[in-house]
Formats: sequence, structure tokens, C-alpha cells
Amino acid sequence: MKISITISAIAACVSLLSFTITEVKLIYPGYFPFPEYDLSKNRLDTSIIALGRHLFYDPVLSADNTISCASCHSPYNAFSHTDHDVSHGINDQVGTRNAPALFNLAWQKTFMWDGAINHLDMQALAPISHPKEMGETIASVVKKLNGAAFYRKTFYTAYHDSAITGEKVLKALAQFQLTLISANAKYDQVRQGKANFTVQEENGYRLFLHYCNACHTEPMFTNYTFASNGLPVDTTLNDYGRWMVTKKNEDSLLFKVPSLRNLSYTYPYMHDGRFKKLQQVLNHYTNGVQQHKSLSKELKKTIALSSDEKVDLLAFLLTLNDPGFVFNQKHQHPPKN
Amino acid sequence: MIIGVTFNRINYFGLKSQITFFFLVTVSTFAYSQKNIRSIKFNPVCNSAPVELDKKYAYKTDSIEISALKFYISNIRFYQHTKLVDEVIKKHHLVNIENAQSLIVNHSNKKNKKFNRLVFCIGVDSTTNVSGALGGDLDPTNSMYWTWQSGYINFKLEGVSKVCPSGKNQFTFHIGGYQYPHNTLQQIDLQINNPQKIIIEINILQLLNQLKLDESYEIMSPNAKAVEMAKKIKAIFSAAK
Repeated sequence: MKISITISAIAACVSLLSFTITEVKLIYPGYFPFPEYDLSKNRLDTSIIALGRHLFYDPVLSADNTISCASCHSPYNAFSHTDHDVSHGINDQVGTRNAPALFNLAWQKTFMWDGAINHLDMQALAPISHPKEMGETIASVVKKLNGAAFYRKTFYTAYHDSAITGEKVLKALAQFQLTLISANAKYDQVRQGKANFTVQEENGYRLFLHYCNACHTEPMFTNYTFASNGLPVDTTLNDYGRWMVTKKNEDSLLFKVPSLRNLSYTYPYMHDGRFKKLQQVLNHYTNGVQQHKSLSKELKKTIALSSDEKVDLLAFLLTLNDPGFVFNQKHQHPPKN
Repeated sequence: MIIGVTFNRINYFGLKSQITFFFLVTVSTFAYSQKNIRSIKFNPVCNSAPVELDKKYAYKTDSIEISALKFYISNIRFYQHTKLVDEVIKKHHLVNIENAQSLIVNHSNKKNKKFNRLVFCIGVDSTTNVSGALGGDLDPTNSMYWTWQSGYINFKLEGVSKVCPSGKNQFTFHIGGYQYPHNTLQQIDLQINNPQKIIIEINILQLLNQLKLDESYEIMSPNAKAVEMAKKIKAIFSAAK
């Protein structure tokens, strides 16, 4: 009896030790808010993150095994899709919205341009199931993964259980995406006292705080709400944004306020990717805003910026680029096994 | 008492006594729980006949066939008058007509408490709807989760009737929605006269008879029609006498 107690005590210590070794914490600066994602329900673990990374880059998630998450969320574009105004799925089909950049997702409350998805875990179901994106079902994905020796092994390593389920697939994908933290732009270095803004950047920062910060609130550079920024409706797409989810009139033409971090890597801009250049975006805010009922109150008054001020504002916005994030090898295609 | 005696008698064998002890405990718990298992049977019917997939039932001027019937039962509680006496531990249970086992919820009533009311919900509560990926009966591979807009489908009924002017004469009801004003979760409170044999009947024909399938044959998103339908669904649940 004593022996068995000793053995089980040792076993308990070993399992506790192995648990502490693989558990991962999100690392972010002190001036970031507390994450929205409840990590107690999906504890980060190196082997689950590694599994999620494999799934993220694997076209097995699509009906014809041609499109992976990374097809539209490329690491070199801060996980957006450069040069594609709207998303591009199986059989060369195109959707109606621009694939958003993926980073700092632990802080995001709702997902998609219209907030239709209420949790990061569930987000992947939307592109997997959309006929113009991956055109697949989660049940079929699970079946394909169960048939692959590599995944049976990788799921076993991650969950100590060989049964692959929809829950485990979604949680592993969420874990990898939770690790995509961008918090080391020049802006962050200045904030941490490790660098200084140039005079031009400093002036741009002042303009930013005056004109942009109400919605693109620092340090996340979004206030995580939905707003109408006065874009005219593209009548070939007829996308009314959040109204399509809530059917409330006041939500007509409201779209998610995106973060401005990594903006040089994430062109084209806006929910339908209509602007290729940042200059066009600034010109929209100074000259292109269309008045309508649900227009954001901050934009009801014209924003007047001289061309010099625009140059300064752009100089500041470029300090939000985080090349260390974009070229982080840990986020890229996993090495072939 | 038998356990105690056996344990003491062969105690000096160390390990052996431990095994005997566990064996006896397991056997006695098993016997105890067997006696006190309380089964709740969900019995989908078309009037008096049990629902069978793809079988023709008389419907208005024509006939109907049912091709899918799945729904969530959650938060099952037992009451004696107004007092809560017991509850089923497993919070959410998916009933699927294709899987005979899923029609039965087993509950071990260890305390053997008396009850005369059964209270439960049809659907998935709002907290669960915003809790991320879940497993078992709530795993999204069960095709009871909307992918384009987050939320569980509480009640799914699909079938065919010539009355429907739709493609292939299909009717499709995916009833869900967890947010105000389109919350479709329904709570049911049923009087139980025979606690030894709980059978809940769900009369699908009674539901379909209230609908105008020639006009409305599709509900597949959280909206006012779904809320109206959810109330009609609640009304077709009854405790068999």
C-alpha cells in the first residue's frame, strides 16, 4: 500500500511537472488591456499550439484540399491577403469582403466585419463552411483528420487522447491564433522608452490623437465597436455590414473598426478592399465621407488636414508596423515532418 | 458491513485486501445505481404513431415525410411540488431520431427523492452559446451549430410534402437564436404522474398541422418567425399518461 502511494505520488509530480513545462502564457505589454478570451477554458499548451499551426497551414480544411487558412491570411501580410480586395476560395470563387489581418485576437470580442461570430473558437467554422471559401463541413474535416496518421499522432501528443473531435480542432486553431500577438512596433518601443519618435512622427501622433483615436483607440488601435465611416455603398456588392446580422436600421452600413497596427502590410483597405493605398484612405476621411443616418458622430464634422499634416500623420501610422511580428518564424508554415 | 469484515480478515495480505475492497465497493455501487436509474424517454410521434424517417403520414390534403429531427434538451430538473429535489448532471442532451440511444436520458436517482414535476428546456442557453468550442453533444460536428452566425440550432425539423411549393417540395426548420429579442430557448414544466416511467411525447404532426406549409416552409435564422415557431414547439411536448 505504501509503495503504491509513493508511486502514485511520484506519478502525480511527474505529470504536474510535464504540465508546467508545456503550459504557455500570453506575453504582452503592461499597457495592453486584460484579454477578452477566457484562457481558463482553453489552456495554452505548446503541443496544442503546434497542432493549431499545422491545421492553419493545411488545405485539408477545404472541400477539395486546395485552400488553407493561410491562403487568405498570409503571415507576410500580418495574416491578411495582399493584392486581393475580397477573399478568394475554392474553384477560384471570390467572396464579398476583404480578408482581415489576424493579430491580438485574444482582445477581440466579436469576429468578422459584421461581428456575426461571437467567439474566436467558433470563427474558423465560418470560412470552413462558406461555399465560396473552403466549402467544407467541420464533420468532414474531422473525418479526414481521423484518417491521417500524422494528425492522429499530433492530436494524441496535444490532447493525450487519440479521438479527434470538432471541439479539439477549433480549440487548437484558436490557440495558434491567440499566440499571434503584435506588440513590438516602433510605437510600442517609444511607449516603453526604448526609442523616440521623430519630430514628424510626434506631430503625426498629435494629429492622430485628435482625429483618429476616438475609434482607432490606442494601444490596440481599435475600440472594438462597429461604425460607419461614410463609404458609399458598392452597388455590385450591396453589403450593409452589421445590419445583415442585427436587422436594426441603426446598424446599416456599420462595419468592425479594424486595428491600424501593421497597416503597411495589410493593403488593400476597408471591408471590401476598395482602397489600395493609405493616401486614398486619408483622402476618403478628408474629402470622401458621405453623410448618412448611421454615420459615426466623429465624422459628421469635416476633417481638414493640409497635405503636410497628412504626411506627418502617415509618418506616425507607419510606426504601427511590427516587422518582428510579420517575419516571426514561429508564426510561419511549420517545418515539414 | 460485509466490506468492513472482509477488509479486516485479510488485512495482513496488504495489496490483496485493497483489491477485494475495491471490488466489493464497485459491485455494491453498481447494484445500487442499477436499482435507482431513472430513464426519461423522448418519444417523437405523429399523433399516435412513432415517427419513422421517410415514412408517409397523412397531412392535410396530402402527406408528409420527415427526413431529419434533432433537438437539444437541457437543464433537466425534478421537483416535488415547488421544491427542487434533483437534477440531471449532464446539462445538454442532443436527441436525434436517427440514433435510438439518444432518445433516452438516464439519471441515477441516488437519493431516491419523490417528485411530481419535470422541468427542462428545449434548446441551448445563452451562456453556453457564447462559451466557444464545446464537445460531446455540443460539438459543432453534430450539425446543430450555425457557421455563418454564431449560435446553436435548438430544434431541427426537415422533411418533404407536396404541399410545399419549394424545390424538391422540402420544408426546413432550423430554429435557434439566443439573443433578445430573438431568444428561442423554451422552458417546459410537466406534471409527472408515474415517476417510474417517464415518457415525453413530442407530437410532430400537431406542430405541422398548425403551419401553413404552402406559404411558410423555411426558417433558418434567428428572427421573429423562429421565436413564434419555438413557442409552437414547446406546446407539442407532453408527459404520457
